[in-house]
Amino acid sequence: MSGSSLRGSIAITGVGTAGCGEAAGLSELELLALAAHAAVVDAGLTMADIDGLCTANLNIAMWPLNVVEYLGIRPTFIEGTNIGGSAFVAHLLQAALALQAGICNAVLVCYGSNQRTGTFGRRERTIARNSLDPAPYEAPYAPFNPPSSYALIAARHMHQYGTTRPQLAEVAVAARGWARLNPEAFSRDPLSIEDVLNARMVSDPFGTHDCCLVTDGGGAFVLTRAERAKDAPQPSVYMLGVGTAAWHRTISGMADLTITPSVDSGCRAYAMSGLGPADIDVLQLYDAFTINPILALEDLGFCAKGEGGPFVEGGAIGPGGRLPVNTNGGGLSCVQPNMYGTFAVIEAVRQLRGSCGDRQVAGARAALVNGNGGNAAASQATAILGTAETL
Amino acid sequence: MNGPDEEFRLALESGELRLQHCDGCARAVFPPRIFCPHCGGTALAWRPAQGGGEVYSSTTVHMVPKGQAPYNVSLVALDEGVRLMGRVEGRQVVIGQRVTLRVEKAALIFSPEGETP
Repeated sequence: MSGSSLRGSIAITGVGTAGCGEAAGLSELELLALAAHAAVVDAGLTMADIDGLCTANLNIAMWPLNVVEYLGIRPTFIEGTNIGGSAFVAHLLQAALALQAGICNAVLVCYGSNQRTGTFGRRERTIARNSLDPAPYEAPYAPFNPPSSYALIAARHMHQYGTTRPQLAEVAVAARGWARLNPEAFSRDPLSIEDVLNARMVSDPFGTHDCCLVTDGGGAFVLTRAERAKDAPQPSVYMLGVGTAAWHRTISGMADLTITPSVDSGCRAYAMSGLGPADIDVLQLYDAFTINPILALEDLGFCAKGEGGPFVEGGAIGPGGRLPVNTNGGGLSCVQPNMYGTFAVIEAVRQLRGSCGDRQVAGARAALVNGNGGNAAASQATAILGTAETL
Repeated sequence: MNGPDEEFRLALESGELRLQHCDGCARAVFPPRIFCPHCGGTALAWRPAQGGGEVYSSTTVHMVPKGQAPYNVSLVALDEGVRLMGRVEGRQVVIGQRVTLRVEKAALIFSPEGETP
């Protein structure tokens, strides 16, 4: 049941990003295509080699069709499952199955959004989404989503376990510390705990610095079977384990606000990989809000439930801390174009290649990526990636 | 024939919160369903909610248009065993506090027990 035959069966051979931050004048497809092209070149392939596609978009229902037409590809494997920002981590499982079954040879996972500078802005998108996917049992109370749903999670966590706002702020400060080492990060000014606590309130307990960035950006990566990856120009990064879990859609439907489905997705990824938390050198945890990495650290077994707040204190997950988390600066300080999943995978790959410069985690061999999706930690996808040594 | 969502909405518009109760497992069901998400039973009967509950979590939304006051959004655990979103109107909203429901303009508004709105 663990799917262990998939362990090490596929590799990420190319990664690419484009327009991280502000990319005025570029469309979503253009950002996607720039990142896709960079990833395919990085993999030592051409677009004509791509015969598998995984992609998703928050606004356009038949997005894979837009992408195949624009890229000029005719893939034999098409995967457009959209479970929110975790989708591109979740796609690893479907892509691995397709590659192992011989349905395709090279899968492109890709995303692009111009939500920061696009003429059809965030407000218009929210109105359109709310009318197409109404939440009749929540809409009358006007939660400011997604912040309010995660604020309800954080408030409950604080009530139940004594988690504090300064502990939440530690997550934002650690992310900024990493971002300051990453030339690609969008927000690189110094940030203190006090700055986070004194910021304008959004939906309490969250101020503006507890909430992720709103940026443009494109991200893409290329997957092939492991034996084919040996010819790739870059050091290959292998998929050791992956798992996806989804339990609800709305915050009202979340069984326990302090426990996310990553309890399940993590177990599945660990079981497939044969690794556990102690084996992980670097983590990329989808940080839509400061509470998310705290929940993920607990649910993925890096600390006990309720101890995530104390765990992150004292710069523990920042540069020089005991556990490196979100080394690119995360969605809080690096890039967050509405769906962050591709960027979490890309940073894990760059760390495992040893190509991260000032922010490189020395000797990183195994990385954990946790994707979060939906307005209420609704979907979680966990992947464990490793260097050739970990096979 | 109206589906459960529409039945629920019509009751709420007439000023009453009604919940489905499953004959099979005796649990209350919310949001309204075609079949019970707990046991799969299809015999779901409508009953008025008693109106008592406890604040499960709560936030104040500060991102409001100029001139508007911040407002409360809460999740309330009703005594029937379901949790739903509503607005708690009180001097201070505290997780764990007992609240009493009233239906106002088809919305669920709660007040701390003993506080008259």
